[in-house]
Amino acid sequence: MILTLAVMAGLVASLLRASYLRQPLQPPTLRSVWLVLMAFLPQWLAFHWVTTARVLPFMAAAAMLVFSQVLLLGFAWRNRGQPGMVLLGLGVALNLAVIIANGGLMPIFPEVVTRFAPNAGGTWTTGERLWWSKDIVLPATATHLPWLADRFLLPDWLPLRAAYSLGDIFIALGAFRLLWSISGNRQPNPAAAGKQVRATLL
Amino acid sequence: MKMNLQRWLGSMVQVDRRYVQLVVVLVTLLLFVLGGGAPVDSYFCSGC
Repeated sequence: MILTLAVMAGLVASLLRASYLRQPLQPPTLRSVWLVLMAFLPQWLAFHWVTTARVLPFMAAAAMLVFSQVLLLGFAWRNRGQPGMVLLGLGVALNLAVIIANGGLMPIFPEVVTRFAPNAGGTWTTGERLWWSKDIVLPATATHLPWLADRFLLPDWLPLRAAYSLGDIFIALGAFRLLWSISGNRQPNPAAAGKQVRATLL
Repeated sequence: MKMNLQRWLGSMVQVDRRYVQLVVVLVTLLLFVLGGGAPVDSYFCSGC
């Protein structure tokens, strides 16, 4: 959920920039959007819809996560010319690497879970999936590529508590960059250069 | 009069197209970050 804040921040920043520059928003035309829809469906079942997320076995959830992230990498590759898409793809690739290296779910260290949810003792076990999230609780010593795990925590003064990875940081930066780009500096489409654009979103 | 109406209609189509494109980009990006990212937050642990 915290990554949706990056999208919201990017949108607000872009709207403010477009307003300041008095330029119309120029959203890009993304290719193969269906890949993202196809990728999100299994994750929705495995991690977001509580009814199915609670009953899905570990291996099924892990397989769905890996399959889904491979599709997202394909989408990033198809749109690699768009601003921010390289960062988005790099973030997914880093997350996918550590997920595959650790059996199909994102590792998180017990001490990180304790700091992140101090009142949740007894609701999780080392070596098992953390609630119905994408994470598995693993000691740092038993984690492959530990520097790519969910090891960072939001500052205590923020009302939201979350643990995130290096890949998540790249994804947040990529989302912000893509949205920032729609408010200006895009080269005009030569095919449309002769048309006078009168309408603006702002 | 007819020219103005056509111009206005053309502008509306342009606005609508951009709105649709913006919504497509936003929804795609939201689904992408939800699918590609793997943070864990209090959403997964209600009550803790």
